[in-house]
Amino acid sequence: MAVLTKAEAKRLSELDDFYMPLLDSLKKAGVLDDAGHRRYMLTGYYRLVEYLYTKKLISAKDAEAALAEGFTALVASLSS
Amino acid sequence: MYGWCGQRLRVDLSKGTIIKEPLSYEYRRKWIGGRGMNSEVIYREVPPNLDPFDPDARVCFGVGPISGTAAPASGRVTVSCKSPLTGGFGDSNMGGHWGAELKYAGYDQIIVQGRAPKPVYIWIDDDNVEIRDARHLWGKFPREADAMIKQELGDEDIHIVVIGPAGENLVRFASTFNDVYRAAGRTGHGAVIGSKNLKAIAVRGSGTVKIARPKEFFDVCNRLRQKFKTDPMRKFLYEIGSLSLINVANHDGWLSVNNFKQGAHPEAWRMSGEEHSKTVLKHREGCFACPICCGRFTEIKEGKYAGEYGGGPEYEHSVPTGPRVGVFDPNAIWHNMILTNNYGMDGIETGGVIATAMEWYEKGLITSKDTGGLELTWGNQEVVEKLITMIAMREGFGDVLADGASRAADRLGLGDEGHKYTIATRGMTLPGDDPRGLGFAYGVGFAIGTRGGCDHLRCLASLELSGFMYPGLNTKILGDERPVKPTTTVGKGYCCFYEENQKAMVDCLNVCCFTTHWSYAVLTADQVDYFNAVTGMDITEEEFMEIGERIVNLERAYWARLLSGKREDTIPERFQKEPMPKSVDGQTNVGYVFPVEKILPGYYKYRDYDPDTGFPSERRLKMLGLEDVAKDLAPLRAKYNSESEKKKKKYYY
Amino acid sequence: MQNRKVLIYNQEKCTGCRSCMMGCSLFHDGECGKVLSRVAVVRNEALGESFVVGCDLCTDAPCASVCPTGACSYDPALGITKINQDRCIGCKECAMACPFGAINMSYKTGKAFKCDLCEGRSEGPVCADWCPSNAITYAQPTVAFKAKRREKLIERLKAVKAEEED
Repeated sequence: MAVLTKAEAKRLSELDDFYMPLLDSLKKAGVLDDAGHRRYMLTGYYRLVEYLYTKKLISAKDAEAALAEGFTALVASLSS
Repeated sequence: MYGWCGQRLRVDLSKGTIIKEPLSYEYRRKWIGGRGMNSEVIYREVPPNLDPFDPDARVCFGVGPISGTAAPASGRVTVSCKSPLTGGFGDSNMGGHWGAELKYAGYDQIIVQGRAPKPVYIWIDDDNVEIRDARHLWGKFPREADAMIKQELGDEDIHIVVIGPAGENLVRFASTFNDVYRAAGRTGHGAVIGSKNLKAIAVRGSGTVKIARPKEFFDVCNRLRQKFKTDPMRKFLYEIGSLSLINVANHDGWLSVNNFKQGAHPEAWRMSGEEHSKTVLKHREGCFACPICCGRFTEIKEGKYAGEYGGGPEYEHSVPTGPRVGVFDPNAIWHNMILTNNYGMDGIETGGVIATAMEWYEKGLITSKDTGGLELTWGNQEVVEKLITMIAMREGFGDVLADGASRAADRLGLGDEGHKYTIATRGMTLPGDDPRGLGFAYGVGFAIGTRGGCDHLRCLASLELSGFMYPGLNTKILGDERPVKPTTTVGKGYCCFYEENQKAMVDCLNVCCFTTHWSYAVLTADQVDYFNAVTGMDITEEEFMEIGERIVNLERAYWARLLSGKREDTIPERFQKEPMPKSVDGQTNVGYVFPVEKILPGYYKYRDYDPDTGFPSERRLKMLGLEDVAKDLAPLRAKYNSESEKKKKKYYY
Repeated sequence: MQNRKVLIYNQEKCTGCRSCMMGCSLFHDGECGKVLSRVAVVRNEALGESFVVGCDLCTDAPCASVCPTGACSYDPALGITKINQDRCIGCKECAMACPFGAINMSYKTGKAFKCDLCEGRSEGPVCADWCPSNAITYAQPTVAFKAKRREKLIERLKAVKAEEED
């Protein structure tokens, strides 16, 4: 599901410190509220992937790829 | 009550009073125990401008709700005080069995305040607590004092916290010991205890820790213990101890050699764990309920030190009094370790100040006139040995060094040039790992550590350190596998944030970091599982990590009250400007510097520290339930950025 | 029956961590504490020595022979003495008679309790399962003693060889 634009996805995948910008983008896109933003900052990336999967924003296959290949795979699925 | 005992002991040595204070549910839930409760007490009860040796200063011994249970490595104790070394917030923790014994006696924490008119020790026998005469114990090594107290009380199975002569002599980096050799090394609370004329705390407990959901707890523990059997890190630590890092460090160039001038040395293999196990290892030792057992017991068999014995070595203890001062003869290193343990002082700081003095000597900032005739050349073991004793006894030049490297630079009037070589942050010298090789997140830990020149037990950025042994783990937590490379800036800000919160919780529960997020048998989710099973609470992983964040922020606020913030969040120039030289073939980090300023801004964002002061923001403090702390800091933000304050160079407080 | 698994304590391997004691008390009593453990670790910290003490599964057991009420008796099916809590009068005779100090008195019931090999646990006794250094093993005696014999022999021969080389 296209939660992020292609340009946004590209920008994120080029960052050194990508996690906070990723959470910010997801908040801006309305996927995360303040509480969610904070929750996944505290508990880590895999909890975020779990959440996106349970919200059906990514497929099981996407979630698997996101955990195997990292956030670049995640932003790719979120922008397609 | 489950997990906690629900009360703490407050001993006032001036008045000779012993008070048992109940701990409410809300308080326990907010601060958990160990480091959390200790930090809370230090923040509220020890004003930032108080002299650490003032009778009114506190020293706290804390254990957590998990302490004394079957959870892996649950016997640690956190000791906290206002540090006489840094002048700021200070805590340190130790293994051994004393923590568990304290729980069995029925206490979650001991707060010691006041000053006894004569040397005393505290004897806790379950409900009965008494303050006893310790004049005959004064001046004794931990080993002797431990034996004498056991004999006096007629029980060999009790556990005793004790300080050595260095603590009595107010050496600013004196340590506390339990079970004779298990040291809470850093920040110098041994001297604070010494200033209170307290020699020891002996404990005997005959109780148990009650478990809310025993079946569930057993299953969690059983699952984790099975995991340890095949854990790759555990295997190294058990077989060859933490000295297994020596050969790794030497290859990756992060061994501190000659005060961090080099990151490796062709002779370093001689003190490796592999060699140690073949030559002088007498026994493997385990702290309470530990599935790893990295503890060693050493007996020197050959040469001039033959016949000496003692607990240890451990990587961080051996490197500063070895390679960092240019000593590579393993028996000499074991001897230095036994010596610092006997006197009861921090091996890291001892090696750190001697190495600093050696560099001053090399650079001509001090001469043999200053040192009382000692030739402080690299690797001069005779001088190192002498200095260890002189520091502990505060004799001659040793008296200057006993104040720690940063204070010594000022006592000798060496100015900025002198401070350049102290290799310390916030007044505490760094442990024996070079961030140019060990890792950038680890190095950021040195800059932002809430107890100053912090080491492996605080912002232990294990994801970059041992992450390579657990493929996929960096991706799981940080979202990318690239941060596993130590010398990259990718993902390090978040790595620090996550690990720092996690480690704060580890210290609150008072389990050992080596079991969780160093070896990765126990992950955060597993910790939540055993915490809930023991206490009967149902906190989420998010709440769990939030408590860690609260503690880090409170400790950070202690420094903020001392006007220590963003400008002091730095690491010694050497790491930033001097590219790592090549010392051995195949060294992997030649030419690297550590660009700390590239990572810090990102880290600040996760923490929500003010970008201009580096203080915890009001918004975040309120979110963490620290409204009163926010009020404390409000007037200080402008003050910190005043012109007069900006000009000040702060090496300690 | 002769080859039933037994508990074997390798004193030289004990690290003194007391993982066994924690597993024991938690498994049996649902609490954690040294006083509720059937196995015990004796530590001599100053010299870095630790010793593990537990039921050695005597077949002609002193604890059973001194028991005045017959509460403590040898169970041939299990290969260990058991204490019938209903018949135990808490006289402590068995605790005193045990040559190893492997019997304890419960602070909750005032009665004697001892090792039962974690009867019913499919993985065998918790203490052996959790021991990080294999100081406690649960094995068939014939196999274990054979291994021990071999270990000792190799050790001795290696020492002789090293001496010859010197």
